[in-house]
Amino acid sequence: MRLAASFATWILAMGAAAGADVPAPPAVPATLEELMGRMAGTTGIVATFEEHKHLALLEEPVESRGRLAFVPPSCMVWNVRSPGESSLVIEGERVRFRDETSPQALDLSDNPIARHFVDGFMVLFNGDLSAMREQYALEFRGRDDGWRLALTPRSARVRSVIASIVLEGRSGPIDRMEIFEADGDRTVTEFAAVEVDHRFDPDELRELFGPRTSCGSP
Amino acid sequence: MRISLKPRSLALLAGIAGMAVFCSLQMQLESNVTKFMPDGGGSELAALSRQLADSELTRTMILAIRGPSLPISLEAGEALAARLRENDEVKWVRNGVDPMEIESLYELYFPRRHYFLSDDPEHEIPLRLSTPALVERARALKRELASPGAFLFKRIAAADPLGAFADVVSRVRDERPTLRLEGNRFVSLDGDYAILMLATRASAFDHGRQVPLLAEIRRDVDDLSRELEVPLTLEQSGTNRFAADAQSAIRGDVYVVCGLSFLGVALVFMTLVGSLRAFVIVFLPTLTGILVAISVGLIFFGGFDGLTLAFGTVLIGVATDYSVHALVHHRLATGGETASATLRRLRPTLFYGAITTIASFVGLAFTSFPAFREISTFSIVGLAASLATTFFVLPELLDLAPPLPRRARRMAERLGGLGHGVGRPLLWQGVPAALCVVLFVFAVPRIRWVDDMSAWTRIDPELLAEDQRVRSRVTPFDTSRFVVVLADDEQTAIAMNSRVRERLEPLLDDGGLTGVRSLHALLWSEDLQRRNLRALLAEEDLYPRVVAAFAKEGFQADAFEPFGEALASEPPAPLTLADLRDSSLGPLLSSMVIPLDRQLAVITHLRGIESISRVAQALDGLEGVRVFEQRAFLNDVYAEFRSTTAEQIVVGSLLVAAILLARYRRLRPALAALLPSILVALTLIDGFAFLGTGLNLLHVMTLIMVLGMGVDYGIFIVDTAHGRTDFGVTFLSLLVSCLTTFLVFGTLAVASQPVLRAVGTTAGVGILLAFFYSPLALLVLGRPGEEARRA
Repeated sequence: MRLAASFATWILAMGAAAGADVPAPPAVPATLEELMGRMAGTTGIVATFEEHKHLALLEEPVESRGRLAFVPPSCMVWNVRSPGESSLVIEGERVRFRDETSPQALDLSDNPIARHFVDGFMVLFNGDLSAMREQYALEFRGRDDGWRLALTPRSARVRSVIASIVLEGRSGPIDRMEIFEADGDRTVTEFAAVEVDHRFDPDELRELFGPRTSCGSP
Repeated sequence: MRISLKPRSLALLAGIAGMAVFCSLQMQLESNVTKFMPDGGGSELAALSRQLADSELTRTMILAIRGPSLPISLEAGEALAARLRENDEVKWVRNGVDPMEIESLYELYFPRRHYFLSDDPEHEIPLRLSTPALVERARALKRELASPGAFLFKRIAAADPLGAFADVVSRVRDERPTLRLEGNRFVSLDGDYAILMLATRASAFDHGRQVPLLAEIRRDVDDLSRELEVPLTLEQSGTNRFAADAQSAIRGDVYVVCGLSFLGVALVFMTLVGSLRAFVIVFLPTLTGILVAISVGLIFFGGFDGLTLAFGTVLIGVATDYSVHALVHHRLATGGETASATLRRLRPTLFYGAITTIASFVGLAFTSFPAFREISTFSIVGLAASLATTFFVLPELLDLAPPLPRRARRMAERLGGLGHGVGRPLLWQGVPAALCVVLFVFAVPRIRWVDDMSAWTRIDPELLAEDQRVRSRVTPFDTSRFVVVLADDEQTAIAMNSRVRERLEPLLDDGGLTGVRSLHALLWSEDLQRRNLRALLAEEDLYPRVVAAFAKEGFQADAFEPFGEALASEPPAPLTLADLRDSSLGPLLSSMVIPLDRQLAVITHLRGIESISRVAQALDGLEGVRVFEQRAFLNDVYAEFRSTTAEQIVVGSLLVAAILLARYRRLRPALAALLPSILVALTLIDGFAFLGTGLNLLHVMTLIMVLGMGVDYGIFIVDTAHGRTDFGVTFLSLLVSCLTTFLVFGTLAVASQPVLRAVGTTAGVGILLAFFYSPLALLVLGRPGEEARRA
């Protein structure tokens, strides 16, 4: 639950989309506390992303593009639209993976590997600094040209899958995320068209999470 | 009045007390439907049916729990599951997908993934390994790696570029019940209820253990409702609920009927015999018989089915007639005859009465139905014990009975005159009797048999509606119609089961079925597994071709070394049933693989059957494969057994006739003794046929008892009605017997359960008819005429 809230607030806190011409962008946060302090009260976030997975299996990184939607406090859809259509849908504790090959979503809520990934995201996006410190060793660096947060999982079990996660941004919301996996693979995700304070209407929520979703309910 | 008991009586009373204590301590009543299914040398399908009736299929319950919101429902479901796991009566509880199952799936199947590539390996594997197919597979893998579920595929892609393990997972997933999952917890299709499934340790028909368990489940939900401070709705589905409800209803009926009949019998005794003490005395031999039969049953069978006990007790109840007969004859005997002398005089009559009764239902002891064998054994033992008590102890006790009131003697005289119509041809019995014989010809074609066992008990409509609601929320598989493969060995059964799955595929595609649960999703025959591996390894240059095809799509040349190593290494042994049983997937097998005495049954469960004949058609020609409709099958079995039992009545009647002929050595008295029972049978059948009453096995069973009593009445008349006075005394004893029997069993006709109503109607009407027709024995004997001449 908090995952979504934190993620939303967090992205919100990262500021408006780069290049916005209205109010002056907030200054780059100087401390982690300041960064996290800005994560509050978002109504929803949407963004597009472009991802490059550097995998040992492949000569060249595999590219994908898609859209991210976050509904506070605990729902998120990570939707890949190219190549092929696939989604990771998170509703609270429930994690489902859907792709073109199977009409039925695969429930990954109790899949230990999936749980590692999801929990990592959730704690991060939750914006709960103390919970984040409990699960990750944090290294924050704020400069004039942007900020950088490196998270190293404290749990050896999680570290056996994810070595570390690096998030980067300028004055605005997150611009880049890099996940370093224990086996040497690496995923770089760049966000664009970040819309903070997005208000999801019921139709949009149903489209994202299904007709009986409780996401977005007070 | 001071009562002094002689040693035999004291020993009897001590014995009764001892047995009563033993029985009350050891008594285990059950309602085991499997005892009403054939066993022994019967067909394998009968054995299968019997085992299924008491398998995990009937021991499984589905619980649906609902709170104000789904998260609360799930929380309550989780808490209830935790409580039920602590319950000793619960074998297992599932309220979601166990992560261990997924791990187990990986451990079992990943090393053997190349055994499970195709149902048709010689044809499909070469196609799958063609270069265009491999390139297409490489593209698909790349798409999977680009997806947010990449972590699922990446782990195994290097060793399984062909996606063999993903196929296994997909097959298993496709054949799971169509429950929704919320955080891996089962949720009803409508998304409102948390769903739990549990299996009970005890049989669904074990009333003594199921009733407390059902109460505990209800209590647990009430407790949770208080703890969570929310209203919770619980709805359940399970065979145990119907069995418990039916047994409780039967018990309720029996209590009411017992109370009413006891009052009625007491009234009859007070009116005709004038003493309740006499009632106690005449009931003692029957009580002894019942207790001996129960004790023997407990020692040798370990427990009783409710219906066995009910029927057995009814049959032993016939013995009460013997002591009533002795009491009335003793107390109305002329010349101060002692009780011992009366019993000596009546001994042949009572002995042959008992023997003919036993003969009429001894055939049940040789049926393939355990329940009927139990009933037969129970009754024979009980009747023998009752008769022994009547002969050896009753004489002492009869002296303790007060004299009969004057009105009894007067009544005997009147009855003597009435029945011994001094030359009158007993018109008012003879005419209806003749009419019944004539009508019987027209009645036979009108007889309507109802062999559906489910009609034996009345199902509570609310319970049924709740059960259907719960089932519709989880769309489980049809529990009474499925496909069964019977084979002598495991491998043949598994191989044939795979062919069944293959033949059902078109029905799944066109909506003839909405789903199947087949062992094929988990296990293929060793031969098919080896053929898969052979077909894979038969491909020339497989590894380099795979590497080349995947390289075209941008995969590293050395990325698939684990796959190459797997191809080069010694393969593991094919997966066996034993491997599956020993894994955490083992519980999934309990409803799919059922070892029988000489064969193995593999069951394919069906869902959404559009037409069962289409299913049968699809499987036509497969050896050892049948579409099994349990209800229809059992109905056929019961129809056959009912027909056999009806034939047994004829055979039993012939046996009784032979005994009577052997005893009287003349046709006329033998026929006279038999006549009342024959007329009872004909009249009852006429009545049922013309009233349109559907007859079942229980009507036939009860008819056996009534006929046994009818023959007794005939024997009593033939043996003891030597003149008007004797006839009056005998007729009075028959009247007392008839009224008490009628009050005991006839009152069952008002019971709520059809099973008891069938017994009650047949027994109640039958016994009145036996009394009504009994004077006709005299007509056959020709004694009224003789006496009239003498007069």
